[in-house]
Amino acid sequence: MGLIAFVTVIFLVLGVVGYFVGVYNGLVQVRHNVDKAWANIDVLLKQRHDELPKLIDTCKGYMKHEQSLLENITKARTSFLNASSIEDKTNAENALNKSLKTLFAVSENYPDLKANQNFLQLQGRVSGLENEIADRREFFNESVTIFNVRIQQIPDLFIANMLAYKIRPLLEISKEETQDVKIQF
Amino acid sequence: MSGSEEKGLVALGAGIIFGAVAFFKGFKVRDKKRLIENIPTSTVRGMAVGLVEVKGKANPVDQPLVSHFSKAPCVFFRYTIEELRSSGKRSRWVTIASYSSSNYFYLEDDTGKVFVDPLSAELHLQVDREFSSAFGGKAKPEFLTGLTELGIDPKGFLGVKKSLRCAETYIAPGDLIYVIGSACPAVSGEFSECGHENLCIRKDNAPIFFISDHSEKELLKNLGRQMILMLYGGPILTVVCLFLLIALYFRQYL
Repeated sequence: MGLIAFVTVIFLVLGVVGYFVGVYNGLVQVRHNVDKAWANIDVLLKQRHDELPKLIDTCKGYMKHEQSLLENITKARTSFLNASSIEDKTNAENALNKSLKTLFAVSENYPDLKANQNFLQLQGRVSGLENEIADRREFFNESVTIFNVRIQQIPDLFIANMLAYKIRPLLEISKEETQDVKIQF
Repeated sequence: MSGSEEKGLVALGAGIIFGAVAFFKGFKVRDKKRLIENIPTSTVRGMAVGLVEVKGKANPVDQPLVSHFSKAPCVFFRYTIEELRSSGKRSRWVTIASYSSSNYFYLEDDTGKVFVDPLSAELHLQVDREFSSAFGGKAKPEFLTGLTELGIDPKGFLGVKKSLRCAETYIAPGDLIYVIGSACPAVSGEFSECGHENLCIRKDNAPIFFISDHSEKELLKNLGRQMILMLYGGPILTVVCLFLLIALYFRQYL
């Protein structure tokens, strides 16, 4: 009978240890998922920022009266490049998105620019990247939600506290970005 | 010790080992389940290289394949043929042929399409057609044709029909599928440029590679059941077998 009790205890101990190892590994995994999801957005943001100087150069020749708009894009790009935290990058991105939306809307007033192949190609590329960024942003938010829920659930909560895991903020779209661009003629 | 007691001892020993192995494998199933739970579903357009989970419609890259027995157009098919073989009083089903197609296909959602390489995938597919042939029964002609094409004679000794059974599974174009695996750049020159970002989901170094025509929820439910059975059932089986083994030993020698 002693042997049966011993085997039962061994299974119980292994079960408990295995359970907590699993919880720990799971938490590490969800944290990495969040970091990876952000890194995947960052890659696309950088790709888009690389396209911006070319876009501005192309527009400069045609949009002589839109200097402030082009400057805003340059400023937003610079502030993005200087930003280090996710929050700062998000703010810079929101400002840039707004300016780009206005740029593409205003370009309708410049038929010569609209006929420029280089501009059309850059517009297509930037818009394509924007769609990909939007998808990845959604993915990032889902990863953060999974992480936030996990670290607040019992028993994950105890291990998350030991690992000093904190709730991560979601990427939110600014109110201005969700509104339509007003074009003034 | 009689022959039946000896067999009993062997069975109990096997039960102890089987229970312990099931217990440890249960942790692996638990890890797999957690991994699926922890990865959000991405759109094809938003996919990045690495472990991804995507849902969408299956579509052929070029012309659809034709499943071997049902002759249905599909993007993937698999079949297993088994034969009932007897030795003494016992009989068991033995796999005599099996095949899984390895052609790439597309997974398509509202945002784009991506290649899927089904090689080495863990498949969770519903069986679409089942065929059988046995002595006195009438086998379906497509089953007999399929067997002949494979060089399998449905008749055995003295022309008596063999007991054969076959399960065929296929993914038809337009079927909704769930895939979790490693997204890698598709080998350039291997395909046309039509796939989004020209990525391909395959086994690669991914800890899991599932292709399923069930929903993620169903898949998790199945894994959950498997996990509970292994993590709880395994130790119970080991302890019970051990108890019986000791009881048998005491009855025998004390």
